Amino acid sequence: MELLSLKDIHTYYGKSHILQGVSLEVNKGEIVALLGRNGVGKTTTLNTIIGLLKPRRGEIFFQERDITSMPAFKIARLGIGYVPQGKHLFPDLNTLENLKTGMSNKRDMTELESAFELFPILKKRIKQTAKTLSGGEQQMLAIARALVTKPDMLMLDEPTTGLMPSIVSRMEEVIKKLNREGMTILLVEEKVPFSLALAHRVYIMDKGQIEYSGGVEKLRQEKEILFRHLGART
Amino acid sequence: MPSIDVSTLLFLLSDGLLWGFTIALVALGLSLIFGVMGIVNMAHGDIYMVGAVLALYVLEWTGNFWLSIIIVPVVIGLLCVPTERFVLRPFEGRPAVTMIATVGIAYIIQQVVLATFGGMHEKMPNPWPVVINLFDVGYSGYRVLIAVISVVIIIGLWFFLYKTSYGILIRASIQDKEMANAMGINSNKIAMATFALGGALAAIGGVLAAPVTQVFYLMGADVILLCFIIVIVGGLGSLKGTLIAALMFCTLQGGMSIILTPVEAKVAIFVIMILVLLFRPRGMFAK
Repeated sequence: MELLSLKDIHTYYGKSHILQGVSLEVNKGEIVALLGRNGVGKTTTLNTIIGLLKPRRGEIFFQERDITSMPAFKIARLGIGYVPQGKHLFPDLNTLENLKTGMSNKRDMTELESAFELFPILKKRIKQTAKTLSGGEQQMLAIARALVTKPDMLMLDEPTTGLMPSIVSRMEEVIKKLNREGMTILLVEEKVPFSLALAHRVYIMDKGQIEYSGGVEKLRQEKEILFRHLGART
Repeated sequence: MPSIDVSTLLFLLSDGLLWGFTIALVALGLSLIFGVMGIVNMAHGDIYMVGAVLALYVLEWTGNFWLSIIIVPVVIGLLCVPTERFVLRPFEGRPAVTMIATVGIAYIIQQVVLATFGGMHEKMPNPWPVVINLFDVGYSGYRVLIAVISVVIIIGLWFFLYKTSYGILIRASIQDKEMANAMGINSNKIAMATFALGGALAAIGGVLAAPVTQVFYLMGADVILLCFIIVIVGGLGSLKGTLIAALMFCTLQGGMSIILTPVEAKVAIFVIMILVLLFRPRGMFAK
């Protein structure tokens, strides 16, 4: 079942035409990776989906509802959890307060407990302000904060940037675990092996357009495509 | 030049500090509105003025000044809601235009007060004519009382912002508005509530100040200037900075009045602001 679909999306930053007709779909239960080099429009795509940027042309549907011109807070409430690049935690709020910003019912502790189950270290940092957490802890908090909104889909933007290898593999496990439990995930990455290890399907972006889409197994055999768009050898 | 003795100086410093708590209320309102909405509210001083004027009316109609501490901020807060919705929100994301819109609001408030209340200076009777001894000088008990009331309100504000769920959402919006939106927080509602809260704080300041100053339709001008300086020096977006800067400036102003005329003291305040900004360009507590 189609959870999210973008149809011919054109987004601008001022006069620069960033997304030049992006179409993509994410089905329920999938992990979809959106790959591409720096500056090709991956983050812009996520910001357009969540409604922080408004496309000039095209349509976006989530759960069969037209969300193209909805304000960001309403789109988020429909069930999209966003973990942006650079985490964007609320720096002076502590761990618990950061989590509470995502909880519609601030007294409902079940979501909080399952977040702490996933990332036990956060429970120990509960009173610590977000800016004083380590990079890995901040990334965990960013994911936990998105999860307590009870989303149907998680959008992760480069969740492993700047993290130690041991934490990267921990993130890989977490994403797999969430997906096994039914979470749909749209993952933006530059790390090709990490993404191919996780994703069911892949889109590759270049210069504001989708240049390739297909299953992971198919992509593994088309090494030339990986090299041309990502400069990657796998 | 008058002779400077320690007890006079202590008296003046204390007088300044006590007044600082009431100014802090007004400045915190300005700081909150700037923090959450990114709006420089040029009408803030006039909201303070309306608070004082309405306090006079409440006294006239009910014979009870104390009622105005409750009634006036509620009325002003309620008036701020449609102002935010229909005057400020249409210009959201355009700070310069919004600032001009608040100048318009300021003029409208001034002219309405001038047309109804009139252009004269009114003196309100002291609602608590108790004299206390402060460093061997007889001092107005009411001035101490309003400092106490202001402290109580500041503690209440702190509790609201730091210990309640809604306060968390307001602080989150101050720190990263876009991300707050992406978390499902309705920033329009937060902005509306903040503008009402900020206006109510200015209004309480005006109510408390009414018996100790001249109530006049241009009385907001001095206060808004001081509050801008306080918010800038404290650091944009830092409520703690605003509070500390308010107390610091008012205490200094009190202390300086022993050697400087009021006009010279105003110049001195600007000099201090420039000095602080030379060393801390983003204010004392800016991020």
